[in-house]
Amino acid sequence: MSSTSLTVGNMIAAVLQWVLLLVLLRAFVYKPILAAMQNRKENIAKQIGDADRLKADAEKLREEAVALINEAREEAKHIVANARQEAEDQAKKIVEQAQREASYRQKAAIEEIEYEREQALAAIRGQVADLVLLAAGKVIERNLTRDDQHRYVEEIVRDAGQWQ
Amino acid sequence: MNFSLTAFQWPPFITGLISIAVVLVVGLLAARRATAGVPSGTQSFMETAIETFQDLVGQMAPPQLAPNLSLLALTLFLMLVVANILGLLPLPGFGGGWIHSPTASLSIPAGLAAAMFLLIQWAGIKYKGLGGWIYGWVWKPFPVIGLVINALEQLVMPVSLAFRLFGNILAGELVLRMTTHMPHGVGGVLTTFFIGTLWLVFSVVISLIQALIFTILTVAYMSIQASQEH
Repeated sequence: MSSTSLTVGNMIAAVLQWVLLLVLLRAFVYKPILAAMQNRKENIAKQIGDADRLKADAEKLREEAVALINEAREEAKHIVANARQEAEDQAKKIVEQAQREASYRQKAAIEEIEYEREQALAAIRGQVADLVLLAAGKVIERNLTRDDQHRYVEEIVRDAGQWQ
Repeated sequence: MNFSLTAFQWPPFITGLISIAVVLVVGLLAARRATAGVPSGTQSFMETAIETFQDLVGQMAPPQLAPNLSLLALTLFLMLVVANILGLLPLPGFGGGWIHSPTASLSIPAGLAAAMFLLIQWAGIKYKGLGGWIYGWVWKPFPVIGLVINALEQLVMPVSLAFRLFGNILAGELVLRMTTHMPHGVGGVLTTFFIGTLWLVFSVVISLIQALIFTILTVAYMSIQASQEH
């Protein structure tokens, strides 16, 4: 049986085939694949590093943002409180001014009415005096009958009405 | 068994070429468009194979030897796997009959085992120095007598490598052929079908295991040679 025979040529050929395969695989298969594996390893390491750095950055930014928001909230609260205080002050001032004005107007009106009344009274007093003088003059001028008297009085009253 | 310097056998040489061609084609498919991104199916197969052998060899071999030795062993393993399975395929052989594995011809495992023997001794010389290597051969475990013991140990090693592989693959092929030569009738057909299929599955597993054993034992012997203290 030929399969059990040992031929030096075939022995050497088998080894050469193996060496040939080794050389070819090394050049065209192992080298590019090992390079790809190495690249992938480096990429992954780099990406993990990037991710860590980005995460740290994001955390820092988040903290800054939270601080800013808190600050803004405080400021807003402050502004609202200020505005409310100011509004209240102004409202109080307006009410006070209105009250002051109202009371002033009232006083002025009262004074005016008083003045008008004084004036009217003075005028009435003057007319009454005139009437009395007129009446006295008429009385002195004539001896009056009862009827005359009546008529004069009426006349006087009518005159007085005309003056008004 | 006869020993011949001249009578070159073409069939195992050609099936050997077919084996390395298959490995090379698969390897080139894997390496074509090799990318650091998401690898294709063949690329990730080859990456897994490389990493597996890096791990396997890394556990045994000294660190300086491991990277190159792992690729060397992987090449040997891939070649032997294809060579072993080749004889199980329903392909026409040379001069009639079915194709035979190159490893079912004693010359091929023997040649490879002889090369492994040289490689193992080279590792010894490289990592222990020529003096250390000679000392290891002659002086251990006993002065001078050690040579006899070591010669036996070191020479039995490639012989056992060669015959283990050759015997397993040849036996696998022979029994497979036998299951196709059953007597006529229902019993014979059923035997061919069931026993033949079972044996085929078994032989594929044996092909893988024998390729791995040949490779791993070589790596182990090399590692022992390279790391032996004196």
